[in-house]
Amino acid sequence: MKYGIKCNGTPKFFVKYEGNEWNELSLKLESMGLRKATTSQMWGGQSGTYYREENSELRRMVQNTLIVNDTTIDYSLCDDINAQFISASNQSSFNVAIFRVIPDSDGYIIVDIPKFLNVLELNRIGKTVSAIYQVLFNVVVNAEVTIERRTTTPATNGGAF
Amino acid sequence: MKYKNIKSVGIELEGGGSIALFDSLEGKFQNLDISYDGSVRVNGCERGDREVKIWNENIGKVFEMVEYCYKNGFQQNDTCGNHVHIKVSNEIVGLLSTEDFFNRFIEWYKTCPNLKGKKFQNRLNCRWSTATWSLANVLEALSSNHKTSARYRAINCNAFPLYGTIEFRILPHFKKFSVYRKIVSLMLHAIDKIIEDMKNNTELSMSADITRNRFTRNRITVQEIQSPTVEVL
Repeated sequence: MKYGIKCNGTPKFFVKYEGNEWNELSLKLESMGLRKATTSQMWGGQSGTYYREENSELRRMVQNTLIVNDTTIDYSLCDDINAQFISASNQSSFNVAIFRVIPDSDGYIIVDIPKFLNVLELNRIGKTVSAIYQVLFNVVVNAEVTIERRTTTPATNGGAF
Repeated sequence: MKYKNIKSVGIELEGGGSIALFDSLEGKFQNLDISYDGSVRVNGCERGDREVKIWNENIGKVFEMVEYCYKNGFQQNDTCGNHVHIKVSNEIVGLLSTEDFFNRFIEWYKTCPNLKGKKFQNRLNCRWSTATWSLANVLEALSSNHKTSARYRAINCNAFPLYGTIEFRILPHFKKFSVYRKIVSLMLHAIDKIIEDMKNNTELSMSADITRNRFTRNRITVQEIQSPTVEVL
């Protein structure tokens, strides 16, 4: 899985699932009783398809597993598909609802964010995403987060960026 | 001069002058502070170890103060550097912590025709304004709420948690105000343009790979990949 920020006038946060990751995750969400739904209020006004839940099951699962594994993260967790992914007023809250969003055909989830995150903020999110990744995919060993710079050419397939 | 992205400018003017000069500055200019700087030694001045700080949303007001100083006997020598702080909007300040921004700025500094002289190029090797980007350095700089040695970089991110600014430490001393103004103006213009290019640049991406390792580790590490790769999406 990759995550990062793209800037094309306005900054956007992205998650990119690779290989069989989304299939694994969607099976897990369905086994928790979540079902697909569409909304026009994702992150406060975006349209999309996602797995709807009733009682913050995903957040509860993540929090419980983090506690059991004695894993600390840098962000408090929320789970609200209609709230901003990163709030402009509370930038230490990570919205796990992003993992309930069904990616596009290229495996991307793209979210507008209020500002371009600095290197420290990206690193902190990396620790949180990495910890959640372990929870979601039952990865026994710790993941290694690397931050790298890439030069990309503009998407030629009319992609989101 | 109006900038697209720079909201205010602050400068730290190191040097020496007369007691009367420094006394006259107090109350003459807004947002001004004068302090002792032990690393500064300008011989032949009554006060040869001063640092004058000023900030303003209008760069013209900043230059007004600097011109007044030089006209009234202010001097700099090679114990002095010139530091410039900028404030940008919260939406884009994160861009200035990136390796891309750092490298673009250094590239401009190395190739600007007005900065070809030895005095300027030597600053690239100065230990008070190291001209290389390091992830560990930037992480330390941004996470410290006190001054650390991480601030001794050409672009100092340690200024952000302390003052909400990003500091450029690379400029050398100047003997004349006309040169000071010209070079600082050039630098601010270059910074503004780099930010503008990066804001609208579809090619900028910072990404992290989360991969499944075979070996058990007890900590998450952040590792900097040195060689850029090209990714076509």
